[in-house]
Amino acid sequence: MGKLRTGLIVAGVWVTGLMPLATEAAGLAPRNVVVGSSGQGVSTSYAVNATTATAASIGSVGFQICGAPTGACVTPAGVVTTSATLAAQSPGGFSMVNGSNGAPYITRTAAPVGAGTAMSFTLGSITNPSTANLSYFVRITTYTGTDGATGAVDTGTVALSTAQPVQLTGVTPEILVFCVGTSIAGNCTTVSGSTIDFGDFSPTVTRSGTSVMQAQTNAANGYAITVTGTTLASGVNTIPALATQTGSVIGTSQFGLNLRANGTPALGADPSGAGSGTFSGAYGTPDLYRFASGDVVAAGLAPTNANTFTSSYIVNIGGAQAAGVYTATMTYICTASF
Amino acid sequence: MVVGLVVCAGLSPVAQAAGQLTSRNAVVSTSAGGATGVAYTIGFTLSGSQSLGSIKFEICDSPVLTTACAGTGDSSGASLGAATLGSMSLGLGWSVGSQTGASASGTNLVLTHSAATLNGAASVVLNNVTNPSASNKEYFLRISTYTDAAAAAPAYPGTDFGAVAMDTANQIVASGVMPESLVFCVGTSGTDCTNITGSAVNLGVFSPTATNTGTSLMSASTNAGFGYAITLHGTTLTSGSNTIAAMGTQSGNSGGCTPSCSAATGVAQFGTNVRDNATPNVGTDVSGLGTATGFGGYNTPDSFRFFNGDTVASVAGVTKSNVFTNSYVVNVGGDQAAGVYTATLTYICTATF
Repeated sequence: MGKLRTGLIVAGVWVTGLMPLATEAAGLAPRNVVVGSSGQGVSTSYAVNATTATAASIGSVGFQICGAPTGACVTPAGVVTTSATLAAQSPGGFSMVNGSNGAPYITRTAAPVGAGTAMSFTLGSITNPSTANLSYFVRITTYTGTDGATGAVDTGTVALSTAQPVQLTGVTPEILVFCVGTSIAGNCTTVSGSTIDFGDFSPTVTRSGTSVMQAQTNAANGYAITVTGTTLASGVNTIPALATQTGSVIGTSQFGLNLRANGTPALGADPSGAGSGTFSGAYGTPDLYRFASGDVVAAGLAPTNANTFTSSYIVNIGGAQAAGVYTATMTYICTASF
Repeated sequence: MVVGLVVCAGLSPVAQAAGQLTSRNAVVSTSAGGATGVAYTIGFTLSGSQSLGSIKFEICDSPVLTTACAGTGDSSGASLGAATLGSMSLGLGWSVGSQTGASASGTNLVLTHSAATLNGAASVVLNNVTNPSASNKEYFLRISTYTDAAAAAPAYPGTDFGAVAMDTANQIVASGVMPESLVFCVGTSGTDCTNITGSAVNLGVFSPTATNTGTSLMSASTNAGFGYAITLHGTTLTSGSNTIAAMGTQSGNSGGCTPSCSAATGVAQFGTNVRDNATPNVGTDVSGLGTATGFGGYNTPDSFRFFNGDTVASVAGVTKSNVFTNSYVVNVGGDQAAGVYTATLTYICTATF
């Protein structure tokens, strides 16, 4: 097929009035053109690779950019080659002649090139056709003459196509993802639960429970999580909150929490996750608990991915603690500063 | 191309007392003028039971037995001189007894065998016949039967006689050129390169708890002997100096997945592939009559990557059209800086002829 088509190209060149070819040129193969960009109207590079079929003294190589593979060469709209450069070459010794738009050629003092020689020429600053998704063609011909027209030796056509660039767009908004519950399996879409049952309080046993919360933000100044609420209360009776970080003491009425993995009692977990958020100092010592409404319990000082915090609660009572159902509602507030 | 099938259209006159061969025809393997090596499949039916020792075939300018079998007119150049017997359906032991090549007195061939009483239809295949030289010329095949082996008794035209009209014919040469072809297009909707349009893919509002997706399309076909490769060019999603990390090992056409090729919420990721994915549910597999496929790390469902210059699809030879769906996935961590993120992706299809 290549040789048949080649013959037709030769005929076409003759018809357009260029130098008649004394003999039919052979086919350059394999051949391709690797463009730097396929975008319409883009100025880019054309790396032309072609292997010769015929041993000859080559003085020039022509590159016609055409709208059709055969027949008269009509340069596709938008193509500009008058600023074309020769950025790389093999074999060497060539220089660019770009005076005729759509038909640059490279020239040198004719020198032998063997059959089967893999040639490679990178032409710079060629403007693609202005139409997207357009097939067009580069006709490549080697010549014995130095004028890009005389003494055709090998020829070959390569089909190319512009392609519509794809523009991807998305928005990252201001982000604060925060959730609270009693269990979480992954991110905040999996959080659930809202109640903690401490069971029956006893002056001889520490009662405990946990809740979880997760936070992440792209706020430049990070976030702070505060805890608000009242200590456990039953009517007018309360279990005193630990105003300072204090260990769990059986037989003493106390209610407190922290965000660590504790040993006494065995309770809770340290923060997890890829983020940089962490517990605050007042709630960050294992086995020491505290509760003061409005305290900051955790914070991230900068944009941070998700961290999961486990809030561990402990309850002790003295033997005189009034009977009753004691409840407390803890509300965590995450404030991001953008 | 035309293969001539020429069948006699009329019965020839029989001037003498010979019986008439009926159901005569001759099918040629080509009707081209001057064609050599032509097979003639000749059919006829004897007029009745007869002692049959030989059969003579002549190619002549005229079917009329009283007219000399000249080979100077339209049948000029025809020759049975090198013809061979392919087969004979009636009787046994047939062979070429004598034959003459092209001449002014026509050309002939005699089939002979030990005389036997025969009746009915016969089908003879003569191979390596040369047609008359000129095209679109009518000529005639004369057939006569004899009791002896030398085609002499009874005298010409023998026991039975018949002729078949034939014609050489001009050969119609249909030709066209299939040039180098590469049809390639990129867009966001459509079914093939006649209607694929669009350029914008809106990936929506990113979230650390959900994966955002989008798709574009590309279609390619080529007659390049070495096929084509489609490469992907561009940068990852960017907003000012902020970027969303590209997925997969960041080296050209790597099959590696460091840190990850799987979509995961809460982690900054941008990747693409050309498959039908379930996690997330986006994209379709390649379609069309072509043989191209996705390439490397872009050809596994639920596995995504992005690296500038990578090959995303290819084929090693000529191929009809395929349509690829490019699926894009985006995840962000909670710390991803707010902003409008964009990426311009350019696909380049390089065919090697």
